[in-house]
Amino acid sequence: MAADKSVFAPLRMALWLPLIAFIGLCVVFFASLKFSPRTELPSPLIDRPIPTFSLPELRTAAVRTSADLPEEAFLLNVWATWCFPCREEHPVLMDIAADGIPIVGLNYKDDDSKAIEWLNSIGDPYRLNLVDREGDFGIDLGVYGVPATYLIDSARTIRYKHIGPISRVQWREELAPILRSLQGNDEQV
Amino acid sequence: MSKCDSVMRIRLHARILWTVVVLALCVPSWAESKGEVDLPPALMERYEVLIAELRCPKCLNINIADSNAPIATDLRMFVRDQLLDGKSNSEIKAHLRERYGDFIDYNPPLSPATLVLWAIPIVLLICAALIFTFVGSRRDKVVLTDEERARLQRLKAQRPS
Repeated sequence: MAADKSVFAPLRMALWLPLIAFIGLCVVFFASLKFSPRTELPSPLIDRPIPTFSLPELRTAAVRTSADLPEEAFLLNVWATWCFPCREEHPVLMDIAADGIPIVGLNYKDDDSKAIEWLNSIGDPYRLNLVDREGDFGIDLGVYGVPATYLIDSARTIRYKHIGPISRVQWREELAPILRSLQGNDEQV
Repeated sequence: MSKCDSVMRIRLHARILWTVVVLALCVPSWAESKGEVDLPPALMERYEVLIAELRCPKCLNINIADSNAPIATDLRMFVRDQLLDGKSNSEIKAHLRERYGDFIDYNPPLSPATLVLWAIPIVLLICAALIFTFVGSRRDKVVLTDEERARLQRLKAQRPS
């Protein structure tokens, strides 16, 4: 019996390992319950040039390309009249535009006349409004929900993507500082 | 066979037939959601594989085949158009990965981020092999004393065959 013990004792200890591993996994899983599932995808387009496009302007239907984009750092805001959070975001965009920051709109899978009516009745924060009727440019931009806002620098490189409506707090604390740093880079050059 | 028996049998057959007819009627409603695109059979096969392997970016953990989010419909149409343009499956996936990230592909490529997933089974297998050889060699070292061997013989003899 003595020989038995000396040989199998370490093995008996090892038998506890699965239980210990199981309890460890339980702890990990229960801890993960507290974290909300990630719903915002990181965009692989960050630090990449804005995809080339050739889209009609909303009011004039004139075809616009990346050459017509603002020369300085700007916001590209994807919006639609059918998008409820866009209405919530609209006054924030009006304030941003009032500060002289250029905003380019991308009217996404919408109806032109409804979009024009919306801008005429509650205000137009956009310096330029592009129409993406079928959502093709949206796919190029990796849009999967509206509203979405991209910060783009003067070199037409995408620097930041914000998903969902911009709140005043988010503008002040997240987006505005990034935009200022993009503008700062331009002044140094 | 009595008359009663054959009547029962006919009723049973009628019931089975009725069940089959009702179940057959269930099929069209299932097929309807899949009938939104019309492609040549070879492309259709690839289309179905692709939409099953592409993940809806809007929803958590559902492929674009099963999702009814607007973006999933758009992506299905995108896949259809790319197939009609003669693009290969890997070209289509690479195109979407560039825009939505590896998240969109349920079959992600081997990259530094996914290396650990591929390595874990191999590492576990090596560990298991090591443990088995280690424990196996330990077991070989068990040597019975003469007394124990005699007892074993006695026990074996006692056992009813």
